[in-house]
Amino acid sequence: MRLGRSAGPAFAAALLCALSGTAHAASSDIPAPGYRPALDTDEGGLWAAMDREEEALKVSPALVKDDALNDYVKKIVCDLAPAQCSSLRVYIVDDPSSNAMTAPNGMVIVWTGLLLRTQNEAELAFILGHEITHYLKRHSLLNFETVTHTAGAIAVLSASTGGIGGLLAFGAIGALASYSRDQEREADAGGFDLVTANGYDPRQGALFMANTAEEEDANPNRTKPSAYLSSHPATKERLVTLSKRAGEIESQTHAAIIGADTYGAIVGPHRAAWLEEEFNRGDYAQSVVMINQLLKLEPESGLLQYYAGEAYRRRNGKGDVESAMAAYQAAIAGLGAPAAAHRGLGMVALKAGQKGVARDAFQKYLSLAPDAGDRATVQYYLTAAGASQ
Amino acid sequence: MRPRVLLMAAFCLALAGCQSFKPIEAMKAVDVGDGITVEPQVEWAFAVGPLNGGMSGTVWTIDGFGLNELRFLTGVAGGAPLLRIDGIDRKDMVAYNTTMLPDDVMEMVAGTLGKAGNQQLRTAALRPVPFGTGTGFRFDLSYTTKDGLQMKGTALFAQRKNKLDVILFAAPSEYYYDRYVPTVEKVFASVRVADAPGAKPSS
Repeated sequence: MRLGRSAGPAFAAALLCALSGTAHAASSDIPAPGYRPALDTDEGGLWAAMDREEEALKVSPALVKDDALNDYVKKIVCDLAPAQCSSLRVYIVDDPSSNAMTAPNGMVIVWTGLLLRTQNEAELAFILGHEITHYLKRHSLLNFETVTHTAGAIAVLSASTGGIGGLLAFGAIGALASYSRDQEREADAGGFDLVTANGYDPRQGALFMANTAEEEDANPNRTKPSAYLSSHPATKERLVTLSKRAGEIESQTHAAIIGADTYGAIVGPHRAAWLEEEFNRGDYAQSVVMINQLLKLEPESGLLQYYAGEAYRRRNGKGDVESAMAAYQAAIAGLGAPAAAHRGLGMVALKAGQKGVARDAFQKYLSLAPDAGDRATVQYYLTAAGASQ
Repeated sequence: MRPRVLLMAAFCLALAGCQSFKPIEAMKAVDVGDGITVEPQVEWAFAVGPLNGGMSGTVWTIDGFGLNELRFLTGVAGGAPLLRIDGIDRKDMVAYNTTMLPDDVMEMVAGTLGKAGNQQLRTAALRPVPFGTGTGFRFDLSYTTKDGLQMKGTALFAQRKNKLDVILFAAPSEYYYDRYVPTVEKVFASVRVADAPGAKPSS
């Protein structure tokens, strides 16, 4: 919880005034390991603001504290950029947005919504490589030096001192991370070079982009692209470029790392919680696509089938009751489905007027979860389905 | 009251600085829309404006936005979102559907709060309860606001005549929620529906 943030705009204005009289740092050099800019430079002021955000992030309830997961992501970062390992600090935040970023002071933030969507280590490595390249090329500093000469700087700095929520919502630091398309192309190229130099499958970055584009396209009502895509060049252009480069290098690759099993072992324990969070975005059409992408890799997963059923049920469009019913039934027939799959099946059967199916499903749910917190509601559904009291 | 709570109060009141309010008497039944009346139990302040705390709906508060908000969202018709959120296009909102089951409604409320930028949303304990003389549902929720404040809430809703009525209480989990939730329980219990037997006339 953050207090006393109302001083943010004043702080921002003071910082901006201080910065306006300082010499500009040489912006394009790759930061040396352990590098820290002088405080009387633009870069030093920017780092100070980011340090404040990082201190807030360290105590945020949104921080995911799983050591195995944090160590895993940190190791990928260090493998990709060993010289900067000590300068890059990884934070995983519990937020269903599909996003990642690296702040100019070396704070690497990975959103759980991204970890839900990347399907293997190679995909995640590409995204991290992309973000590391922004850091190495000091893109956010270059952007900052541009905006400090505009009225937009006030907004940027005000927002950047506006608390962790703004940060998580990709507001403040997001403004600094609103890179130019050329910077994004450079980051894609750099990320690609980093992953291929580390033996990762060169095709995985393009596959992630293709899945992201498919998810975006699924929502006809969406008025804004995802945080990740909003600041990036056209997805098709990125797909073509990445695919072309992957094709050029693939013939030379012998034992490319994909890392699906390792990734699944580390991320798997979090998947159910992150899928629940995913639904809180309220973009069910996209959730349907994303979960079906995961199901292509694990068609036997009762857990994923259950969440596919949940996504269809919540979207509630034409044919979704039938799709949900099929998904719940597949979940029950699959491996690792939660008891709630029976409750979900009962709900869609009730909507479809299949009261017998609904009764059986609700009764099964209550037998599997006798202490369920929603027992009284399920009893209500049972009554609606014609069960005797 | 601890210094931390006082600081939080000052911050939240600063956020609500330009909002105007009208007082609501403690013991006089109030019409909150769609033929529903409630008894306030204590003195509240009624927020005057189309968007209160960044979202639409009739809002009562005791200490100010962010500290305790009792939001009345009544008469939501099929095809309409639960509320309007500042800066969010209506097309991006989850709409109410008259075929929704109580679980669906709970998920819609959570999804709507998510659209408003809240995170780590959790819902729990959906259960049937009286709504006036009819049947409604209650559930509890928790979330973190986009400003990093940890909140708790509880909601009462009913689906009547193809419309949805929701009364949503939210307050910081530290201090404020526990302080005011007993009052809110009484407000929920005081719900009367105009077209139901035994309903009180609105004031």
